[in-house]
Order: sequence, then structure tokens, then C-alpha cells
Amino acid sequence: MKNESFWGFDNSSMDELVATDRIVEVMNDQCKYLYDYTQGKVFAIFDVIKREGALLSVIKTMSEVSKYVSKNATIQDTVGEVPINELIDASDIYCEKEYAFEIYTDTYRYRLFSLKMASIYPVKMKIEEVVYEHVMNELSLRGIKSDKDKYIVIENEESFCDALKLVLQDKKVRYIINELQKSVLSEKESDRNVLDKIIVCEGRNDEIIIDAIAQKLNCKPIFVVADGKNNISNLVSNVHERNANAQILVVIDSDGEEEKTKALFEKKVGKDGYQLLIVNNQVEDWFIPDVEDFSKLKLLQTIDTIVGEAEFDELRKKYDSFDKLLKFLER
Amino acid sequence: MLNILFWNLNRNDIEDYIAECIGEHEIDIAVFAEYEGVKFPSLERKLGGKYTRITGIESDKKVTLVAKKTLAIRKVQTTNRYNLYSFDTGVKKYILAGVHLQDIRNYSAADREATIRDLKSNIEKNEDSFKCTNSIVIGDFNANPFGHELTSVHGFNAVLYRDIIEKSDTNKFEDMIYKRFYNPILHYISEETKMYGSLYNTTNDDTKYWYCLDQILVRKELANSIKNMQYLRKINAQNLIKSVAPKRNISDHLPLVVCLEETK
Repeated sequence: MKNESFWGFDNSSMDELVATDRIVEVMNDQCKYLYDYTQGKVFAIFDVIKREGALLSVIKTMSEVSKYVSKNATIQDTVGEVPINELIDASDIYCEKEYAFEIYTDTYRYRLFSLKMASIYPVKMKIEEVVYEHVMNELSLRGIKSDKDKYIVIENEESFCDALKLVLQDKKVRYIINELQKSVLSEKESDRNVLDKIIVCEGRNDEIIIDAIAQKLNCKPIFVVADGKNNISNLVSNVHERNANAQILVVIDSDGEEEKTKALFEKKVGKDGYQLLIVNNQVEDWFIPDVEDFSKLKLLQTIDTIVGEAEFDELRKKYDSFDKLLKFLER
Repeated sequence: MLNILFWNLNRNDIEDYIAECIGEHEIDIAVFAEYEGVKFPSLERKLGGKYTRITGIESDKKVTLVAKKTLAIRKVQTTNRYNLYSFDTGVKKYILAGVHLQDIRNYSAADREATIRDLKSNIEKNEDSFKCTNSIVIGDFNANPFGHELTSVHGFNAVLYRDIIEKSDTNKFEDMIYKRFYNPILHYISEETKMYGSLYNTTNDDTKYWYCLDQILVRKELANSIKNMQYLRKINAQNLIKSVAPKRNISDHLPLVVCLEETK
């Protein structure tokens, strides 16, 4: 007696299996178009989201796994004539993965949507919230529905392309791409300056005061605060190692012992790679009595006014250290 | 020293407290959750114009960040529950995630863990892009240090013991390798210093009274850099606690201040 075939090969359900294999190709093309349009300033990546850890690299082949598990040297390592390590687990072909489509510059990422996709439709797209609000009505008019978690459910390639077009042409996406292009240009400019000048100083008050002076001269150095004389030599070594091309100024209060402070510091750090500025007795002296006994917050709130009203030419004549600082900043 | 503040502001308009806190503790970076009550231009003025809110192309959602202007910092990514930033102090480059995870009343641990997995994936991507593993996660996790969200490999995989992470910054579980974070909280919780937690709650039948929902996690590279962390009970002379609990008119959360030494 011949048994019935339950596979259903003859019925229409096989025709309903629509493959998603074109999605990756479509998406990769969109990435390329964006790159070309922005002349490489902004790019997009469509890739699997890695959420869990990485597979152990030590177990490379299935046959190794079998031997490891069974500790049996005679374990079968083929199925039929095919070596086990060349067999693919068929469930991996079907399994659903989650992809992300993200728009990038070197310094910013914007995830436009994620896509849960197996080998056949339907696929589910989770669009960034604001863009979703913009496009949901239009999607609905085209028969593309959302589930309760706001994933839009896409049944075929035509609907996928419709949805993708709406999303990519959304006004927020346009805005993001424009702004990213502008930001790339301005970042290139500011990156050139960011770590050009570095000032290493003892404490926060020094940073606040010197920064106010730098602002008045339209200069924006980076500050590294040592939080104490004892820390400064280690910090300077680290800063110099990382920023070999930067101009580094080290500002230390002499606390009444200029020569001793200088000798001690040069003994620890050496003499190369930085300029040393020893202030007699401390940075605050340049603006005493205006900043005497100020709390940190009061200093933050008032220093710009105090420095703004100060006559730099007079201070330069009065304090060698002030003159040396200005020369560094003005360079 | 790199000083970082995190504070869930309970949507209160407490700019004076924030400015005092930033001044007193010489804060370099301040991350805020439930910040909608704050007028940031006013806060920036109170800080003498020396600090600025770090915005990006997208508006902040659950968290925002204010940093001193002398720091080179930029926002890298904005999401519904966290923002990612990169910054360079001249000594080191860092990645910082400011987070505000889903609350306990309306969401489950599974919801928080889904966000955490997404966050971890993004942190690792940024660690690759920026070639930097000095990563910091700070914020309101709405979960305690021993909670599943913090300790599980499917959550932050945060270990509470420096010995463990110093041996290895990854662990294996079911053939997968997971990167670890270090959670320094255990070192600082103490009756002696009254460092109990950031939130006080007695509504449950098994209440622990104090909960450490606001935390910091770091990668192995920074595990020995943490010099101090504290939940502030006062800002200058102002007490943030009334009787036993935080004053709600200031915030139901105590601020978290963390100091990291940069030479280590």
C-alpha cells in the first residue's frame, strides 16, 4: 500500500514561499548610493546585529566538536561521503537573524531601522521612532501593517521596496544626512586643532584661570589637570607619549621654591618634549586679590569678567610667567 | 583625575543644586536622567559659561550630558534608552554610555536585558571603530548590582570583584565568549560612610530600603582607575536627605560621583 505524501509539494503553499535573498543586494546598493551621493562623507552599513558573544574560536569544525564531546577517536567523521565539517546545518539557512541599517560618519551613528529576516518572507522592520511616526499612515495605506511592538510586517519584495523608499526619503533622514555632511566638514577643521596645544596644570583653579585667559585670546587648548604636584610628572609623561606632535606646556606653582620645583620636575620627567612654566608663587597670584578665597563655583562664575577687565600688557610686564603663558597661547 | 557625575533629577528644576555639585566636586562630565525640569542655558550661565550641553544631530531622549568646555567630547549615538559619547582627555581616549533603563514598575528584567544587549553590541562596535577599550557605562540601571541584568552574560556580565576581571576580561558560557564589565560598587557600600544606595523605597513586603540603581561599570582597563565613588548625601551645606530618604523636592535619587585616576 502506497502511503500518502504529506510534504504538500503539489499544493500552492510551496508557491507562497518567497525568498528574501534580494534584500541584502538591494540594501548594499542603497549603501553604495549614499556613499556616492555624499562623496564618501556619509556612509551606511547593513549588517547582522551581533547581540550575543562570539563563538569560541578554538572549536573550528564540527568534527572537532564531536571528538571533543565524545573523546572518541573513532567517531564517524562523515555522513555518507560528505565530511562532517563540510555539512551545513540546514536550520542555519532558515534561521531568522536581525540586521541593522545604520547611517554613519567616522564619529556618529544613526540606526534608521532594524530588520528581522529569515530566508523567506515575511520580514519585520523596526523603524526609528520619529521616522516611523512620519511614515506609518502611508505604509498603512499601502497595506503594510504594524504589529503590537511597532514592527512593520512585510510580505514580499515589492512591499519591502515601497517601505524602504518611504523611509529613506523621510524628511528626518534627509535632515540627518545633510547635518552629518556638514558635521564631517566642521569636525575635520576642529580635529586639526583639538590636540595641538595641551596645558598640564596642577589643579582645577589653574585650569579655570588659564582657560579664561586662553578664551580672551581666542585660543582653545586642551587641559590636563593633575590634581596635585605629586601627580604631574606621571601625567606629563603619559601626555607626551600619546601626543608627540602637540605643543605641551606644563604649569606648576612654585609655592615659593622656584629652583627646587624646577630641578625636581626635570629630574623626574627630563627636559624634552614640553615647555615648563613655573609660577611664583601660584597662578591665582596673577589676579589677587580679585580671586582670593573664591569657591570653585564662584571662580567659574566670575573669572571671565575678572580676566576680561585685566590689562594683559601690564600683567606681562609684572609677571614673567604670565608673559611666557601668553607667548605659548599666541603661537 | 576624571570626575563624573550621574544624577536622576526626577524632572525637578534644581539648577542651583547641580551647579553647586559640579563646582564642589570639580566635575568634568555630568550625565542626567529625568532632566526635563532643567533649563540648560540657565545652568550653563550658573557655571560661568564653562560647561556646555553636548548635543548631536538627534535630540536627547532619556539621558543628556553636560561637560566642561575644555574637554574634547562628542556624541556618537542617540537611542531611546542610552547615548554614546567619545572623549579624549589628552591622557586617554574613552567611550562613555549614559543610560536610563526601563523602570521596574512598568517593565520586566527581560525588557532591560534586551536594551542592555543592544547597548553592549554598540559599545563593542565603537570600541572597534575608535580602537579604544576605556569604556564606561554610567546611569540609572533600574536594577541592583546583584540583579540578573547586571550579572548575567545576557545582561552586562558585570563582575563585582577586581580579582575576577583582572584574571580575564571575558568568560565562556555555552560555547560563546562574553566580554565583562567591572562593577566597583561592592568596594564602596558601607555603613561606616553611610554609602547605602541611591534610592530609598519601602513599598514592598521584602524591601531592602536602599537600592543601588545608579551605578557605574567599566572595562578591565579602567578597573584599577576608580579612586572613589559615592552617593552624595549633601551638596556643600545642603542636606539631600530628609529623615532617612532623599528629599523628593530635590530628587528621589542621590547623585553618584565617581573619580577615576588617569595615570593608571
